[in-house]
Amino acid sequence: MLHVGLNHYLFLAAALFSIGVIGVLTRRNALVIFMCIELMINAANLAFIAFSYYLADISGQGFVFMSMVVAASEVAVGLAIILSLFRNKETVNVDEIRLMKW
Amino acid sequence: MEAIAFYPLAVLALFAALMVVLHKSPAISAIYLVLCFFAVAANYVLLHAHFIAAIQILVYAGAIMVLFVMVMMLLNLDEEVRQRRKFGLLTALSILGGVGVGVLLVLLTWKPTVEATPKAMDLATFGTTETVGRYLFTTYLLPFEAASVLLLAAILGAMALTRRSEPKPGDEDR
Repeated sequence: MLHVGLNHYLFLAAALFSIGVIGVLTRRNALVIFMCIELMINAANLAFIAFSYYLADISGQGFVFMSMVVAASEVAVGLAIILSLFRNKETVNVDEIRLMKW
Repeated sequence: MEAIAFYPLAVLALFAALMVVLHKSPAISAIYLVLCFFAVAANYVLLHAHFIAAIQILVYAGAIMVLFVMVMMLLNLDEEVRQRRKFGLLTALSILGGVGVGVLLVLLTWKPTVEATPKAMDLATFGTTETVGRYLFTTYLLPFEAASVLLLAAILGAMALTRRSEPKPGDEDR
């Protein structure tokens, strides 16, 4: 119990990811959905770092660096999409945005 | 010693993540997300990933969250009426699905026999800026350069998406 191993960090990452999934599925505000996606990316990064430490391999940290680059560009483009969506539709509620729904 | 730091940090991260999902106001959610990022960064420090922890605070808790709060300010969401959704079947199924994903991840990664102690390594150099930088600039130089192109594309994409179209001379007033 008092010894923290690889499994502890993986459990924490799984729990964070699960909370992110629940947020994406239940919330209706596009911004909050986006934040929950960030949460899930963070959980995956935590698992990478935990494996990197317990296997004494630096490449996990390199992967996390790349993942952060992708997350940053994803946020920039995604928020721009939300912003132009709000200009056209006057809402960020994903229930009211049904352009692609038939 | 590690456990003294790990358990409070894990509880803090989970609490902050739950509040991101549960809080009604998106602005408060953003603040809790910053708290969650800080807790995860502290976990990175525990795992001897000092450089990544610093980047996490600078990029995630700094740049990305400032972007979120800025967009929130532009959207002016407080004037929007918040409709309450009922706790329906869809919500219950969503929560069930999320918990299912978590259980699946735990089942896939659960190995009681996995060694609880890290392999032998030089703790003085593991995870420092020098080590990670050397790794990125030698073994993975090409992906590193590709990442900079990706960032440039993201900047241009964001600018193109948010630019208001100028009224051209031939257009009617818009």
